[in-house]
Amino acid sequence: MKCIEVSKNLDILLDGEIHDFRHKKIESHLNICGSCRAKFESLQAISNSIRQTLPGAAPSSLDERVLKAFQDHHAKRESAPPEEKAGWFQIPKLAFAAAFLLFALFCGAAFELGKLSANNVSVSVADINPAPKRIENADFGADHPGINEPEQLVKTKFVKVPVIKEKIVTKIACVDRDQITAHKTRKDNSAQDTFAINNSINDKEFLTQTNLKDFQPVSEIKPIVTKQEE
Amino acid sequence: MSRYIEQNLIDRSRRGDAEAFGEIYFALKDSIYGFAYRMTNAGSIAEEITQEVFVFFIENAEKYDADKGSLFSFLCAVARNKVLNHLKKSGTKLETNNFEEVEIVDSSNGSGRSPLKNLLDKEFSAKVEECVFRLSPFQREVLLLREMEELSYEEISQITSLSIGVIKSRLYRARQTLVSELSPYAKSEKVNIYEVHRS
Repeated sequence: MKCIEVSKNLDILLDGEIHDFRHKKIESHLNICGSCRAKFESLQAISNSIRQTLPGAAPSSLDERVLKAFQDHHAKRESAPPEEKAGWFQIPKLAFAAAFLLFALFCGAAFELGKLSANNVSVSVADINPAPKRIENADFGADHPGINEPEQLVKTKFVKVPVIKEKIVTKIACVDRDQITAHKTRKDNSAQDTFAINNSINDKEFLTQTNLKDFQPVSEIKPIVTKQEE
Repeated sequence: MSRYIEQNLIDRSRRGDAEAFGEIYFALKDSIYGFAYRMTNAGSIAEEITQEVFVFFIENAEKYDADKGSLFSFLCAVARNKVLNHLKKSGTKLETNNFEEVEIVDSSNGSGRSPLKNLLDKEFSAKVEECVFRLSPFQREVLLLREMEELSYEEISQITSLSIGVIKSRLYRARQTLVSELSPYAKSEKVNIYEVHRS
């Protein structure tokens, strides 16, 4: 090995941190090279001198203070409430409360999002084939003979609308066709009736005419929202 | 102190065993104090730092992880931080501005023997102490941990969080600086000249 390479490793040799093949090579070089050996011995002398100039023991006054600090600390722990003695097992109360609050907010947000996703008006048609029955409707008075539900297949439309805090009021009244005709031929001032008839549904399936003032036709159904205070 | 015995004492100390804590304290206090003293060169400061280190251990014993190193390494790291904080507050520069390679001084006089090897008296020891304190704190700490505590590079790395390469570099620079500064104090070897008279 060359002197320049040995010189770079003298510190590591002094510290005993060379554990490979270089250790023997460096030692062999030091045995034959006076210059490198002198450098190594200088490092050894300084190292020995530093170790010999130790500042001495710590003052005894320090002992009393430290041991008292130990006793005070553990006396305080003994007198503390049980939940404070758990050490690192104890979950900080504030952190736990914050985590619980976040969880509750998350659940609430998830619930609200679930409600909003259901805020779509969907219409599904279910085929119902009930047995024909007589429909009694009190709006037409007790004298009204009532009408029979058509015997044909009745299709029922279901409309899903948001229901929370909102109410959709629907009204369907069955009107006899004959009465509608009678209304049309009446010459008296029946603006209200005319308006009602003009706004009636001409729904071929249901075969009913209804007084739909302030109501929307079924074919253009849109949820009518009547907000009511709960 | 073996690791097993040390861990046993630590566990008992955490549970409030004053005797176990006392064994730990008396085994390590001089090393911690010595390191703090040599870094600050002030006995009162070193005493205060030593007290803070052990109080920190008393209040935070659960933070010590035996897998990461010995208890001494743990306490020494705490002491190092407190020493460096103190030096910063006092306005001491922690690093030297000069990062040039220190010239390697050939202290031999051609005879193959180092003059420094011959110097073992008190005057030289005092000079060594003075020169060590004049090193930058970063060089001084690695030198003291290596020379005083005989810690390995790995243990020094655990305490200082420095890489082993940086530790080697700082040790090299520190020692070369000391060799350079102490060379003028080396005694020269006297050469005796004898006259030979022929009878």
